[in-house]
Amino acid sequence: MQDKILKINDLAVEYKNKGSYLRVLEDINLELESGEILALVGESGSGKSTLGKTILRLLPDSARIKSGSIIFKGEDICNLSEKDFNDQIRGQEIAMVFQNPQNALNPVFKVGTQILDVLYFKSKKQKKRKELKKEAVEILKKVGISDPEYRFDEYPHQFSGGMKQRVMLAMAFISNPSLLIADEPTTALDLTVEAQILNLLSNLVEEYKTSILYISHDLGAVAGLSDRIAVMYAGRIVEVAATKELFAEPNHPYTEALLKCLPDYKKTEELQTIPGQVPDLGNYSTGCKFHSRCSYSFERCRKEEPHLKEIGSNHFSACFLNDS
Amino acid sequence: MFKSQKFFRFKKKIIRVIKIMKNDYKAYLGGLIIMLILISAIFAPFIVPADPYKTNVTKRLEGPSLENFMGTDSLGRDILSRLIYAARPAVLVAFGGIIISVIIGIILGLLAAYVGGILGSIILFIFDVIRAFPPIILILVLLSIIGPSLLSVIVILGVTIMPRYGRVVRAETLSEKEEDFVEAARSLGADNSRIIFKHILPNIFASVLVLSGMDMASMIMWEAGLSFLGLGLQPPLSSWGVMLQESYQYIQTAPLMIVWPALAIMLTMFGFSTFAESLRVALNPKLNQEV
Amino acid sequence: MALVEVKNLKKYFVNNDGFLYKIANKGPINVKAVDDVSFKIEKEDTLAVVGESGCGKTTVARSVLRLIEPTAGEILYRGKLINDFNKKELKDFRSDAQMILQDPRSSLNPRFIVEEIVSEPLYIHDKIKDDFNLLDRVWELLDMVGLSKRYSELFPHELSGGQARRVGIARALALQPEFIVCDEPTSGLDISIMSAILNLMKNLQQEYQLTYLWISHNLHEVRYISNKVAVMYLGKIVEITDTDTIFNNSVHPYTEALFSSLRGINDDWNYKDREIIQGEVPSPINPPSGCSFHPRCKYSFDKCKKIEPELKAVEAGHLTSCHLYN
Repeated sequence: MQDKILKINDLAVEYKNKGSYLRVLEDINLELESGEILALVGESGSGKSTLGKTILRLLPDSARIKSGSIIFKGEDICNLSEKDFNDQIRGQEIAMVFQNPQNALNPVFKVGTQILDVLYFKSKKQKKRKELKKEAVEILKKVGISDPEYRFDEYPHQFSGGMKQRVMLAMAFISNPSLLIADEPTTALDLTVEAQILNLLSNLVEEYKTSILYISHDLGAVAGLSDRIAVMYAGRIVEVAATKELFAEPNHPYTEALLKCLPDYKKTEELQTIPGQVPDLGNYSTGCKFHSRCSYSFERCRKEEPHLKEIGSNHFSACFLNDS
Repeated sequence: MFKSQKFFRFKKKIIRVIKIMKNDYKAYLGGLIIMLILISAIFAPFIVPADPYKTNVTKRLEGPSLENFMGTDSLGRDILSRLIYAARPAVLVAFGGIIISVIIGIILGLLAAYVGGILGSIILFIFDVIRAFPPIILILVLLSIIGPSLLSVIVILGVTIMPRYGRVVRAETLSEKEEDFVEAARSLGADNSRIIFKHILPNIFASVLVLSGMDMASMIMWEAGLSFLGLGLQPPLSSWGVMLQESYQYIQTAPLMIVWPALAIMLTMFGFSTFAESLRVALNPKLNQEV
Repeated sequence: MALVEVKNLKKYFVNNDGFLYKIANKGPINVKAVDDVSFKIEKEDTLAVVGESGCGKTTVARSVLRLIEPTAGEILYRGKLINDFNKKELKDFRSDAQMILQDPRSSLNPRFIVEEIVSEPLYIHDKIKDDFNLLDRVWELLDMVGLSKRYSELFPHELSGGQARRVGIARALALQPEFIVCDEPTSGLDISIMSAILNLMKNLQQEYQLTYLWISHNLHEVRYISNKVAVMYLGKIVEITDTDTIFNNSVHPYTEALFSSLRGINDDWNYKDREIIQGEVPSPINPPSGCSFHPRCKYSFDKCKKIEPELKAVEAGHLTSCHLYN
């Protein structure tokens, strides 16, 4: 049995909004094996980004974990003090890359300086920055930046979006994290650049043996990258399965409907739509959150909420249809 | 017939602004004060307890009493009545000065932004020249040339503050011009005048309105200061600033006298600034997602 | 006669920095956003223009509607040269040719309610007789895009992305146009909303015989919505043909690279082992010599560095600019 690097149990997260609390994540149960790439997919309002940020405690002050635990390498990291979490986990054991690389780098410092900073802290302030320069240039080269010595002295605005994202990945991998959380890292990039970044990411993962939680709304990209996929809707996980199996045999009605909505360059038949709208974050009805838009819904769906159940080998789904 | 739909739109927007302000204590506080001042100014003859001009040498410099709530001044006139009447020049200066600044500022700012080129540079130059002078010097110089009076104070203050509006209007027009919804309007066939009046002006008007709320407060303060120096209103006309000056001479013997006009000025300034602040929040559609 | 014809369109942006900068760089810097682009769009066609950042597709879209003045080239609408249109003719053109902008919300004035937004074109072109006529028409338009009457009183910030998009479409339809330029109309929308909008646009096209110029970076969407595709790279069209051919029989090396980066959910390759084109799109300020794609092209040879290839037909209705085929 492979060791599970991340195990989330019954996680619930709330946001404070004008006096009341909005439940933005509920009943989150998720496991990630060591060396695995798990994709977290969903539309806006699904809570996928929130989940990623919760793990690294990057939520705003108005948010709090209501219940549940996040077990990382056997330890519940929710119990760590802020100082310990910052020193040991954030940026060290668990790293994160974000969607908009243009906002992630400090525009007034050279790119090389920013990489040196990360290396300097990794060496626990033992080595001097000058000694680390060679390593920094090597890192730039490894992530595919041409003319790395020259680029070292440039500023972020002189880098393209794709190049900046490469730098972000480099900085994330410097500390050799066990888990990388990638929050839509290629959404803002062109198609060929996205392919390059995903190719780079796959290779880095193989080299460093990192596990990845890949958050995205792009099912096509995720299909060529992830081992397993977890589908989220309205703050809950509705289905988890191996990538190929999810696309070939979706179980949850939302997954099924979503796949039918996807335009695919190989198909020309008419696209389906899902009637209604994604509910606003935290503003949910009783029962199954998807029932009002579900073509299979019945009485029970209005009243009770389904939970994730294993319905096949390592295939989980939260739907009452599976109960009969 | 047309008008009813236009009215409906206008009503919807006003209702939205009001709804937001209803929840803001600043709107009530500021609004109440402004109402108080306006009522004093407009209805002064009807609400004064005594004749502000009636002198009574036997009752000079008396403290507050049942007959004169704020006491009497150096000529035995009731201070409260004078205070209420003095709201008039305050309101005239505040509104008059602002209207001048805003109108000229908008015209010049729009021209500078839309026509640009040499005309734009000239306009900016005019703004810079006015702003280069420390305001007190500029105002004093102009006053000494034109001669002090209520009208000259209003006009001079208006012209001195105008560049601020001109600059803001120009800057915001330039940036609104590039907005997507302006491009969309152009793609629909809208001409420049429609774009300026329907799209750009309403969107920059919010900034202008808020600035003017703040500036009204300063205008009142300026008038008070100038009158205090004897360069604003001349007696027998009276404003709070004039009252300040009169009270100053008797500060040893009747210290309370100077407090009343000072309080009136402070209260008015506070009212305008506070109301302007709540307007600022209410008028920004992006800040208010939850109505 | 084609509905829209673009001939040798060029749009250069001149960098207007101060004169010291110009001296240092030996003259003003020209950004060749669109460099000699020609194509035709027949009535009821959907021509998709695809390409990555900096290829010029957005500039082409705006130039075709004369929202940007071309530096050179001719644009013909129904055979007439729109470059020469006077104010009135331009305004009439604007009621026939509409645009849907990329960001659904920013193209709506945040201080207008939906009814005002949708009725604006009617006001501009004097199509309002009275209030009843106005409201009826607005509700009709909202209904066409699947929005109920109650939306007419809302402000843009009260709408979701998909609803805002629909309002933009309703506004574009108000004057019963023939030709609509759609600039990435589904970008930023959720999958389920995207499919609804795509279906809506397709149905509207059929019902009202609309012609589309469709800018997109989503190739799956392009497959679904268009019947012709033009691929652009650094301001030029590198390949243009009908949709089936582009997906099954493309010829230009850039098209090949672009499409091989595309992954459908039912494909069976992984990014790890995939051969991906290297490098980035060069800056349009300093494009490579000869064929601007040659530094990244795996088939390039000597001629490619020196001579710019011309857009020529490889078969009927299929043009490309590549020395392999000239």
